[in-house]
Amino acid sequence: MIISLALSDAFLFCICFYILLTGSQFITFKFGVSLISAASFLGVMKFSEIFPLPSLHAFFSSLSASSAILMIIVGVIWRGRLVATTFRYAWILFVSSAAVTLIMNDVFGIIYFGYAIAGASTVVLIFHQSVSKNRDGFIGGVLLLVGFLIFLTKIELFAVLRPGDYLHFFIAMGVYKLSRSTVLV
Amino acid sequence: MSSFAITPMVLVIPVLFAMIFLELLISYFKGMKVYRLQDTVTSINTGLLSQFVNSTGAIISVFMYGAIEQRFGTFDWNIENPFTWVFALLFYDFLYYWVHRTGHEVNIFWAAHITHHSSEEFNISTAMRQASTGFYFKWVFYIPLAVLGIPLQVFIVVGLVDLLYQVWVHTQLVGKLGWLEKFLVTPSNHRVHHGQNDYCIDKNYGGIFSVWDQLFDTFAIEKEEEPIVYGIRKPLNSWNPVWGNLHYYHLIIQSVKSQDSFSKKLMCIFGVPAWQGEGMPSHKSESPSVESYKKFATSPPSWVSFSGLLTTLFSATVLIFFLGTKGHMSIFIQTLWVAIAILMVFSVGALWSSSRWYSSE
Repeated sequence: MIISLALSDAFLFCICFYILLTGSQFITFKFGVSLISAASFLGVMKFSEIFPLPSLHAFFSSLSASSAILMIIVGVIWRGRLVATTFRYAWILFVSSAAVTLIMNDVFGIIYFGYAIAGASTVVLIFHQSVSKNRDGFIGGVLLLVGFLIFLTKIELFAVLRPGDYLHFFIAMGVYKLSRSTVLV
Repeated sequence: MSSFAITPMVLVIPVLFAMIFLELLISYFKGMKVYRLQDTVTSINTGLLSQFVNSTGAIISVFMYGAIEQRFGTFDWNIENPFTWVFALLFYDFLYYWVHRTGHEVNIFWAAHITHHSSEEFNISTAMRQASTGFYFKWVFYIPLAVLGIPLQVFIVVGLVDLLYQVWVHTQLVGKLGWLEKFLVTPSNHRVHHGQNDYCIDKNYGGIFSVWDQLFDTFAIEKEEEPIVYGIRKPLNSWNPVWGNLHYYHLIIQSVKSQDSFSKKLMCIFGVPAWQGEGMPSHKSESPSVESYKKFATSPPSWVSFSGLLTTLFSATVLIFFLGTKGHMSIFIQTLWVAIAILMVFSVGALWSSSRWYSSE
């Protein structure tokens, strides 16, 4: 049992669940948050050893990197556009990004492609939100990027926390901030 | 010939020809005209072309499925347990429903699947009229099976079973099958699927089981009082299998070019085929009737028709040889064979079309 990862995944799951229950964001944003909540729920099951399904957790984590973050960011940047407001286009975005990532991973052996997509789209988000003077969106983007960087560089700041914990915490805070910036009026 | 491998498709092709011959014979004795030479040969040529292309394209599906199953396969399945096979077939058919539905309801995927619907007849040869370009997206829909850990060999077998089941439902010789209509895809409800009457559009997507259509509200029963007009609302008007595979992509490209906004360009690619963008054919045009509908026909000299038929039979023989021996060929040689196959079916289409090489419009 890895208690810190189980707890940080539980924290991420709670935040995502809270956003899904209380928020009124566009469908693409919610779709992305749902994927992350599924991955974090499976993470809780895995790390607490209640019902570990490690490969399913790995699959949803991979989808979170390749598709969920991209969808959340599309939901922020292109709010009001077809791709953010209709399930049809959200679904097409999800399937396309997941398929491209799987091909990059399995055919070309580029295993960090999903993270590259997530990182690049977060950088675009930060730039866009700073230009459009959206404070919540900007902070959300920075939090996401910090989470990715700590995770990928495997920095260990405190002995009790693992890089995955920082990823979970920063994604939770980042997605929460982004959800505040995209509330429908 | 020791290097000749008897693959399932090598066995299936002669069986398909036998089924076509049998249906032709029965329809003759019943006094029904369900076959036209040019339509049938075009369907067969389209099927041969798709087998040449997909024999390489299918490798992508199998490779991706295998890789995903290896990486993410969640459960271990005992292939000696019948439950594994039953579950895999049911789940495969459910996913097939969505592959098929997407093939009809998203423009870029309809561009691939429209090939199958371009025949204005409905018979066993129509089942052979398969697209050569669908392989690039279909594998994505079967990822859930791989993530569940269904072994690759089970996936291949249930996929083949699902495909072969769908052959016999392409016939007008079998009427309604009573209570079976509620559970299974039957010739009657598949006739509806191939119709272009209003009530037939975007209905009956199931592969083996029609329960998915009933669950997701896409089920329609054949109406005795309204005879079905087969084909597509914007007719292909060509006997050329290569053009049959590419014409809708061409239409999408033309339409994308003509749109002024990015979102409209996206609609041309990912929108519903019923979207009435400039240059796109609309499902919402007037519903045709059997009495007034004019099927595409050309009148090539009889020697041209005969030579087309001979070329098709020769192509089928070449395909069987190709499928049986391609395991010993390099990718270059395989590509060469595919190129020759394209040339053969292309030349039959070009010979039979009355004006331009690809279409008679």
